[in-house]
Amino acid sequence: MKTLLKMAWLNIWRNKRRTLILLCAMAAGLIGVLFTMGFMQGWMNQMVDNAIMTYEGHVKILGKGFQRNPVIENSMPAMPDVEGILNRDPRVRAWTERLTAQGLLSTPTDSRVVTIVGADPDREPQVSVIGEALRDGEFVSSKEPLKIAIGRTLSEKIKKGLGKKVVLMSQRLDGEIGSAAFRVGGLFDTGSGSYDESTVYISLADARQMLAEGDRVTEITILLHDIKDSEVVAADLARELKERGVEVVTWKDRLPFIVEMIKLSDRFAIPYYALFYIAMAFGIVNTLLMAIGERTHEIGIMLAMGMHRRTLVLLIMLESLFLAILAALAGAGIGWGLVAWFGHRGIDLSAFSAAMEYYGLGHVLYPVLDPGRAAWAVVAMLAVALVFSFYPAARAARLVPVEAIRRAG
Amino acid sequence: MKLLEVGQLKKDYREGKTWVHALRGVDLQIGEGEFVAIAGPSGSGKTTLLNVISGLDSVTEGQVRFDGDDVTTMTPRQLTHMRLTKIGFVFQVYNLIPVLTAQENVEFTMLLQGVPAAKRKALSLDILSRVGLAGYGHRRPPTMSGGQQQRVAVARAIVTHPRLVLADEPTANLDSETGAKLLDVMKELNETEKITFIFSTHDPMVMDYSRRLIRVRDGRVDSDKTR
Repeated sequence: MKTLLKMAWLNIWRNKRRTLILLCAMAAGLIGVLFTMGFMQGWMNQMVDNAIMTYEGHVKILGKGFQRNPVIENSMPAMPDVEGILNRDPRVRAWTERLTAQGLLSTPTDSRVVTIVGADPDREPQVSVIGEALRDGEFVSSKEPLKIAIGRTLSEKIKKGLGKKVVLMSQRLDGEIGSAAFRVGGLFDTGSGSYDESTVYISLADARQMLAEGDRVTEITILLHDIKDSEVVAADLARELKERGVEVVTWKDRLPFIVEMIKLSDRFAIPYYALFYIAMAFGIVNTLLMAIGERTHEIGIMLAMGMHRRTLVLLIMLESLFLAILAALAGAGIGWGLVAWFGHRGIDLSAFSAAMEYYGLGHVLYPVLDPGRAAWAVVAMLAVALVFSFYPAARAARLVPVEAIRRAG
Repeated sequence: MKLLEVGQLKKDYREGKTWVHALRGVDLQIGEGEFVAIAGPSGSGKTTLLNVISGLDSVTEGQVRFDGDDVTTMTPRQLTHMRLTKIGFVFQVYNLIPVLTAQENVEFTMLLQGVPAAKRKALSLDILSRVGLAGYGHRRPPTMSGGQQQRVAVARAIVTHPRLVLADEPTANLDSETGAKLLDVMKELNETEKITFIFSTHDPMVMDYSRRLIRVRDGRVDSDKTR
């Protein structure tokens, strides 16, 4: 085997230029695959992260029916004992209670439908980016009632800046219309124009006063240390809160559009990657056929001397494997480096800002390479090299020694 | 004892649209330890005869018995095994695997036979020294002269102690001095190792070295003289 390995290694360098050209093509293909993977993964991750960090969290405890029909009637009583459960769980990073409702924001000249979020002023900034997204003023406070934080986009549209008064109206739990006047205390910019235009924050205490009676909430939003724990944490909570008549959902239940987007992008990516591998396969087959053509005399001599045909097949497949390993090392190294560099620096896609916003993304995309997927890309390349080398190897093994020897060496 | 018996051997093959009758009924018997030259002009059928004897080429008609086995009825796998274990080859040119060193080339047949590495190394170094190439084991074929390469090929052919060595015009690309040296090596191995050598040649020097000269013409044995 050692001699076969040596022969295979030295054989690929018999025509250095041809080998280097093939290696460059194969490595470039792998770089393309890895970069595309990194780009798509970065895109999907950013979409999920933005949605989770803006509002959704990883796991939510909701009042029964609220997931299907998000109205105040489907709110739930506050559960003080849940605080202990969440605080004890090491997988939980932060959590907060919210009382949310659809309502109308009015000014003397304008009215807009908005989502009213009654937020815990202390906990909310730990669960979402809303604290960091504040551009002017302050977030809602329990010390200063009837203050509202609105998106900068909304502020510009309704022409109400800091200190100005707006009126919120929404249906109360008892079926009556609840309303209150709020003063704009903070302006935020999450990077998502549509979110900023349609969501307003008031304190949880104000929301309860305006919309409900007692300590009701519509959701407890939980942020985890690791997104991968979402399902397990949700299942554990669902088990613990089985008797409470609540629903426990994950971000996947809340963001079906993004989940479908991820699935769709994975499916579309497969034929795209397949094109790279098919081109690579043709390169390998072509190079090996040329190499075998040049070595026909030598192959004839080896067969005449008693080399088994399967040993010859193995030799040629080893040559292909060596080519693939070299290309994989170069391609994976450069591809990984490229993704890491752009992952750090980001790709400025502000030219496509409208589309980026539609997908809930910022203007800069940060590619991320998942090691598992990258490993698959490399393994697929090695597999393609092995599988597609079988044809030229089998052709070589079918050579008739006496005819092969006649060919010029 | 007869090592090789060829009876009424015929070989036809197609070249383009015409049929070539390369062998037209060859009868031949070669004993163990013989040093035989098969001579004849180009196209006389001498290379075809060697190919048929070794099972590299099939027969159209007739018998070939080698070491007691009927070569004409063997399966490709059996033929491969026979060539690997019983026959050594020296071809006219480009005999060696260029990416391997001289020593590795010599070891190659033993490698295919599954001989352990230590034994391969010892035998190859010994045989290289016997063909006058001690110290050349690490050299690759492209860095060696034609004569040196042919001596490596001879070393490779005999290192496994085959019953028969078939040498197809081994001196064709060598000058006379180098050719004579190569023949000296082979003759000495024939005498000391009792290995049977069959040459196909039209080199008068090879004919002079051989103890038996078989002349073929138009696919038939023209003369068969033992000196």
